[in-house]
Amino acid sequence: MAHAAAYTLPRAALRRPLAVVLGLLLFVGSTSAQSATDDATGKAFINVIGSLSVVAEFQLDFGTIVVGSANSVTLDPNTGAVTAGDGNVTVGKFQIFAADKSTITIDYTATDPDTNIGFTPSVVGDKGNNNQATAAALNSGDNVQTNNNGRYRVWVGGTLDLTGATAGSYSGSFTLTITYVL
Amino acid sequence: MKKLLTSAFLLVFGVSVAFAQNTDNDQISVSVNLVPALTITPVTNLSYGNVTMGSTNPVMSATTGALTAGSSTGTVAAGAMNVQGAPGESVTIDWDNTVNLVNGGSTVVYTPAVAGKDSGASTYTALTDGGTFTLSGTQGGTTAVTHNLQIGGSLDISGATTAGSHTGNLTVTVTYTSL
Repeated sequence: MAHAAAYTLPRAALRRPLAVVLGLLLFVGSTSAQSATDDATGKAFINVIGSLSVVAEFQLDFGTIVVGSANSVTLDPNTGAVTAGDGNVTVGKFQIFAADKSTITIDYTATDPDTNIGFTPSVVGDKGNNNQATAAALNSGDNVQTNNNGRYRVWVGGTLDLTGATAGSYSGSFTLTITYVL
Repeated sequence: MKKLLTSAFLLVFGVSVAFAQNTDNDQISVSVNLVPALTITPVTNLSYGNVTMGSTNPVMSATTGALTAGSSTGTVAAGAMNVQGAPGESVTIDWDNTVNLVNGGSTVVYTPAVAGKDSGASTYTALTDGGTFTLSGTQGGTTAVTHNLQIGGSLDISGATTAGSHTGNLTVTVTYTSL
């Protein structure tokens, strides 16, 4: 009996964890399940979410400005209006691809184009590709929700402090990071 | 069974890793092009020399700097100014329609004429008041270039009642056309 008992207990103990494993494997492939015991049952769940990606679509360009003509220049991310320069500007833009109606966190950082040119970003976002004009202001760390197709758009403008700037072509950077809120 | 369990857990672990990425980032550039301010600097004062009262009104060509009508003795010199600004940019130029050169109550009316050329070019081209010229070089450059102005024009000496030096000041204004 002692021997029989020792033999039975491992089988009973194996039944529950094995069932869990087989349940999980159903989502991966059924080939391994054929070698399992035929009385195994159980359920497991894997919430497979859509891949998350952000793609830069337009670079942010403040155009050409005459030195000394303005101490600062502001580019409105909603309208593209600019307060100084030749007006040949481009509002920066990102496209976000995520799971449908998912919640993501928007974080961003920026580097100045030059030690004498400070950049303060102004960021707006919306689910709709054609909603730039009415897109809402976004602070770094804000959570947003994607649309039914898992899309969200972010537009970037901002202000350059030109005090002390000299003639030249300058370039800084703006980095957008997105994270699922799971 | 142990082997089966081990294999199974490895597979599950593998699936978990495959879907583990829940963050992404991308970057755009932030650019601005700062071009030199537009400046104009006087170089040479305009002088018609000594003109005899009652003689033919003198006319000085802005393109050559020479008198084309009337006569004069003494120093005759076309005026000169230098415009400096961003390469390739269009510049609008304006100047006074007329300037009164006075000596007490005696007045000579001066009507300016202005011509311009790129620095280094050999010949001047006549400009019009309110017209434009384009600075040399490629637009977008950040090192200032120079455009030379030469100034002549005509004098109406019929109103001069007193012999002597008659003087006045001509103001020339330049503005970036599209900046």
